[in-house]
Amino acid sequence: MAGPAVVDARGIRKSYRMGEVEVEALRGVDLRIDPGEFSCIMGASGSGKSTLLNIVGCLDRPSSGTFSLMDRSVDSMDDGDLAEVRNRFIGFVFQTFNLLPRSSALQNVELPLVYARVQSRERRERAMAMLEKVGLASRAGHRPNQLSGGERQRVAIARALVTRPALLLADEPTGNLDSRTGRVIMEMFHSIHSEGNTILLVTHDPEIAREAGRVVRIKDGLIESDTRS
Amino acid sequence: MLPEAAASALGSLRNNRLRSALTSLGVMVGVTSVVSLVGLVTGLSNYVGEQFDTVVGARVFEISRFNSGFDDMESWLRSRTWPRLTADDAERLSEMMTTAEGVTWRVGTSRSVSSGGRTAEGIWVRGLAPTEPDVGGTTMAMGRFFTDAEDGNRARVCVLGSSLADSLGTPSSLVGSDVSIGGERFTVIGIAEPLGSIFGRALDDYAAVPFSTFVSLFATPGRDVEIAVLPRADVSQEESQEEARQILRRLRGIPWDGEDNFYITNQQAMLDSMNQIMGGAAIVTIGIAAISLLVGGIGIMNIMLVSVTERTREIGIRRALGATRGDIVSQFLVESVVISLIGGVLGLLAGFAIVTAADALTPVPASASPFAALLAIAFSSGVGLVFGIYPSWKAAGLDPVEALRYE
Repeated sequence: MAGPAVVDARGIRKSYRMGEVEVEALRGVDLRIDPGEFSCIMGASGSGKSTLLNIVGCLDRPSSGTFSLMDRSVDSMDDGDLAEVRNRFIGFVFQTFNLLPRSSALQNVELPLVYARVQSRERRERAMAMLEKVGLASRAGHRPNQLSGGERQRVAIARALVTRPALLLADEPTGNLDSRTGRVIMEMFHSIHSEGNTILLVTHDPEIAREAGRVVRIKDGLIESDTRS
Repeated sequence: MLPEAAASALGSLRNNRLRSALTSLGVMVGVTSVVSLVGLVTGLSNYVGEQFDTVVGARVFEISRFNSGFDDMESWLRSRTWPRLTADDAERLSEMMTTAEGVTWRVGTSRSVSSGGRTAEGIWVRGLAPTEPDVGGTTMAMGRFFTDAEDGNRARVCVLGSSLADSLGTPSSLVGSDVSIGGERFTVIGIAEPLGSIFGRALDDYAAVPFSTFVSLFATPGRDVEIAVLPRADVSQEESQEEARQILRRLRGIPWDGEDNFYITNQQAMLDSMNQIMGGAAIVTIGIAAISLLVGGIGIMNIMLVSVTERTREIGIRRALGATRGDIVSQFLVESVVISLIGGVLGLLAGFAIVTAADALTPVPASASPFAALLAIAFSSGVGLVFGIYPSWKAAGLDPVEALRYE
């Protein structure tokens, strides 16, 4: 593959203590994602896919193994560096949208730019442009509870993309939506992908997985299969 | 970053209006008490200083057997074993002192005074030496003070304080008329200029009679007197006090290594002891105010902890979007300082209102100083900061993954 890998994970293990018991969520995972890929992680609940997503999103650290994002080793970074990496390179889209309930759509989209120390005027312009792109410019002043589920997820996508991240991480993005709205959101992911963005999507729905160019199946903390179509 | 944190803080306070208001109220009560007590105590202490300035001649010192200040039981009992301080002591002092402009002595008791059909009860009847005007600075509004001769032959003459004269009738028609003091007939020969009041107590509700007349009618001979000395203009008060002390020690036969069996006090000493009391009162009251501020601070901490728990998920979202621990800390700290500052500003206004009311309604010239305002703002933001640290630290320490999963 040409160019640096977006994600390069080798021998990732992750164990938790649950009271007395040591639980191994990941037991040696290698994963490489190249720029422009639309990949999908599939697995049952408890398979370790969420743990892997958290590590790829730099929200969590592996117990052992090495992990690089855009050719930068994350292993020895401190908490502040990780926050900056999340801010600059990762865009998150969650199943439950995770918008700040008391902030307007525009304020929600602006939030990552606040932490990137972007000046308020530029922040507003970029957030507004992003909302236009997801077709919600007219809803900029609305709070999440004044928006439909699909609209909320579109705001969340706008928020994830506003920093122009290297990797868009989506955790069951259609899980809380009816199938027609889910379809709209998936179309949006395809159009984002076609603009050259790298997407990693987690799902347990085979219908969704089929739309991705690559499917990584996880079971019991190990990669079971990795197929490109 | 700070403007965003402030905006976010105000937003979150708006969303919990009642809760924020109640929390601010706690700080407000504390700041109100600090501001008003500082204002009142400062006013009171200025007031005391002014009172002493107007009433007591600055250079006069007084000698008495009992400590005129604020003393303990033990020293009072010790004073009782000492020989009395008499008019004879005072006269000898007057003869022997070279540094004194004047020496006078006083006694007093309480009697009723009546004139025509009017009676004033509980009037302070003073037995004064004829030298009183020279030392005490008594000046006459009308008539005259009594003479040496009148004191020598125990004349039944009296001088009335201005407010007593007012309560007995028309002052001008009183001069030359007879009044009854404790059942004894006296002729009014003069009315004194008003002195005003000290701590709200009238100083002009008195009748003054010659010392020897007083002793013959109202008191046993040889009873205690209070001696007042005005030093000469060209000697220092300390020098004159020391001379009086040495003469009295000799008169009263105190060995060279014995302690004085009398007290000498002056305005400065009284002011000092007054200030000591005021200082103690100030520490106590401001201590109490500080406790209420502390309670306000605990209220803030409590609410901030609740807020951190309620907003765990929000913290997780912010962390996922790139907020550092420092960002989270400043967000919650700013919020806590804002709540506290709002309380501080309201408390400042309430404190000013109380101080202004006290100034208008009491003789105490209370005033809220810019210092008190500064103190209030510094205290309230300090309280917000200190009591916000732990909740903010707790918020920043949350694990992003756990926080995002929090329901």
